[in-house]
Amino acid sequence: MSSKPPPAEREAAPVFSEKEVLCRTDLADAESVLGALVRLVAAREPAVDPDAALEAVLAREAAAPTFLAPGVAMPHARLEALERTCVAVATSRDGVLFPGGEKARLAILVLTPAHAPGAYLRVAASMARRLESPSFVDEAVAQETAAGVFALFHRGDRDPRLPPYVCAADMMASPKAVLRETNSVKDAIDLVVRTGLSDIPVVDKEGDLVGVASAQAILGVCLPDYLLWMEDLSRFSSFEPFETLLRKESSTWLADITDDDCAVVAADRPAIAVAEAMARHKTNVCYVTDGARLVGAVTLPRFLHNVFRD
Amino acid sequence: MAKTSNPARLVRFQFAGMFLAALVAGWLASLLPAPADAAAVYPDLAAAASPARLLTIRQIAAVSVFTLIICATLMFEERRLGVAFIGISALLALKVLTLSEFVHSTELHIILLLVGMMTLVGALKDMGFFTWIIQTIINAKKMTGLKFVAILMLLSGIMPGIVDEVTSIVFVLALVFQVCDTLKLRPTPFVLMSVMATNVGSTGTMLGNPVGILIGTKAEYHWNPGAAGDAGVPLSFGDFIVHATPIMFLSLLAIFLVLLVYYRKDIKLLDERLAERRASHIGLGPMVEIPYKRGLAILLGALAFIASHHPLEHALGLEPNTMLVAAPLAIAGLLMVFRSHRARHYVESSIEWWSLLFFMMLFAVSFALEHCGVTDVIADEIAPDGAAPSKFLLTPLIVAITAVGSAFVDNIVFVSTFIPIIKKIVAGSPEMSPLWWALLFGACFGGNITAIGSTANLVAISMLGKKYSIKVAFLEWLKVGLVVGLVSCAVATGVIFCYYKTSAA
Repeated sequence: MSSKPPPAEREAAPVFSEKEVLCRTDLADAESVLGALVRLVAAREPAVDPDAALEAVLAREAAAPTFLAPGVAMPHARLEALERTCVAVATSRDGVLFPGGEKARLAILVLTPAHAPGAYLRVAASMARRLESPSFVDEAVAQETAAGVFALFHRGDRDPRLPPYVCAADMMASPKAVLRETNSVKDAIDLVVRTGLSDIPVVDKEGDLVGVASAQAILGVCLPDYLLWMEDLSRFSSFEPFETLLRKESSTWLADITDDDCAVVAADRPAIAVAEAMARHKTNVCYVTDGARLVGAVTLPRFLHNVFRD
Repeated sequence: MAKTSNPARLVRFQFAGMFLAALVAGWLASLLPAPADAAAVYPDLAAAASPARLLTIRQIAAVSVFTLIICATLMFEERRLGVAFIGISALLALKVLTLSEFVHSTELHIILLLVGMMTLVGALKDMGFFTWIIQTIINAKKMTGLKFVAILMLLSGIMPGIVDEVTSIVFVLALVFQVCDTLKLRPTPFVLMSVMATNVGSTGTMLGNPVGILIGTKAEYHWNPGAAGDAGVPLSFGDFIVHATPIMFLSLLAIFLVLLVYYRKDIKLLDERLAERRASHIGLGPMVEIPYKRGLAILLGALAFIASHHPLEHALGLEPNTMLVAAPLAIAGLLMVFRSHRARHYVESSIEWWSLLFFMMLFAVSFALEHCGVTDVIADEIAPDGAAPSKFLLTPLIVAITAVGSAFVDNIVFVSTFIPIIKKIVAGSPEMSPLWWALLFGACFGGNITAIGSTANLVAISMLGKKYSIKVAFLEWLKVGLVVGLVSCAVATGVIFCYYKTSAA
């Protein structure tokens, strides 16, 4: 059963107003647009130094592109001076050229306090929900006024405030590889070798998560604990303990290397549960489920990037 | 808000309970009848104004320290050695023990015997001997559920008699975990079967359990009671083989049948999964060539050396059980010389120094109880002087007391306390010598009753928790443990009665 945490302190007001909207800008390059957006934020938040903020945003953009969806860039930076999250939005009919060569018709600048790990993720989660509508970008660009853009962002059931917390679903990505429980150990070894992944989720025919097949488990089948009791295994210089599995890998059931005690979190649980599950299971991957169905995975590097660097 | 447990508060509460129990025990000790021969027990009391009063004070100290150690064993596994150190310091400071008495009472020969055996086990593990046994079982052809359980329990029963019970359970559980992991079976039933067979098997030889070594070396057994020249002698390795091993095997068979019925569903599932694998021609683990012959030869040589200690002592004119200690030490020494690169590892990692130090402290406290006359008083209560003791009453009584006691406290605590009691009873009535066996079987079989009844149980529970995060509930263990304990104790008691007939003849 998923137990939600006590409601986090929610933003009392929308994270941006129509004053922080640059509608149908004619500026063509990212630096100019971001400079204009930073100045809009600085006008509202005097603590923000526009030059330092722009430098930080460009540095982050240079490190990795921040496109959230085709045509939608979400440049961001963490600023020491800020005490609350600030957002500014620009729309462009012709698109703004970003450093990676991709054009953005909708640019959402996010500036967050330096020591608020989840602030950016909350904005990203909020925006991602708006972008679920395939026509959202076209509608945004079609708006002729800042007020129209602002209204579009907050239309209908779109909550103008940030979500109370980031869910596991907001952090997850699709699993890079999945095994079916009907697969053999040979399939698992092939996948481990091909993808370089050390843990691969195993699902049943309904797509429900059954467990995880790991490279360590494959090693454990070949070198069980009782074999490691011996002082020195160098006598098996021709990898003799691996012979049995090599001969039978096609007929050995995946269940032999599947561990059902893996890190799993429901998609709607707060993302901190992801960290908890990984820490408790001493693993680098946490699987995200909707009911029992596997819907995604969060890796530890991705989690750390989200919390410390995004 | 839900209540949360406060570990620090619980520990304070347990400490308070422990000291309260020690105080109550001390008060009870003060009610013991004042010995008339106090000055004879303690020559240094002769100069005291009231030797009896001083002896009573020492009895209070010894009983209190003993109770503290029992409580520490029961409540604080990780603090018990610390409590034992403090207790011994108190006994030394209160002149209950002199320094030379303390050193003498720590039974260094038993400790060294265990050191030798643990070193041997460490070397055998290194050399792949245990790996070979597990691999042989795992890859056996035509394995069925029933056959596997029979082999598992037989192995668990025999191994502790060759190595010690703790080494045996660690090694047998590796087999259980391999099979349960591969076949995706609930490991708890098979762990319980192994550990219960281990506790029973640990009585099979003198080496199976520290309790066996203690009884063997401290016993004063009268083989021909009433005959001219009959004197109480310690038990030998051979005596255990002749008298204890048959009881062990009978009890093992009895609990095997009990556990077959109790865990029939799990065994059936094991059987089905094994059949599926057999049909697919898939084994349960890798098959490699293990160089087992050297390890096997060393083990057989060591066992032959140890088993022949009695004739060797006769031939060399040595004290009884001298070679029982010397043989494992010599074997360990040879292994450390020839495998010098691993010698330090054996001494530092293979020897359970924690347990051995605790045993030493415990032996000293038991000696203090005996020396102060406390055990004499208990012996008089169980078998009053002048009254002919009844084997039909005393045998089940000793089995029951030690079984129930060992179910909750380390069996060595009970055995070391009961040794002087049995010694006194047997000294008065030599035909009661089989009570030594009653003490052995009660203490070891009682360990099956609860999850905390023996070191093997604690090791098994710890391994189960670490590997699978499984906790065995106290009642879950008790339900099957009580039946197994009752059945095995009944079998042992029945056979021990036969030994009386042999003795009387």
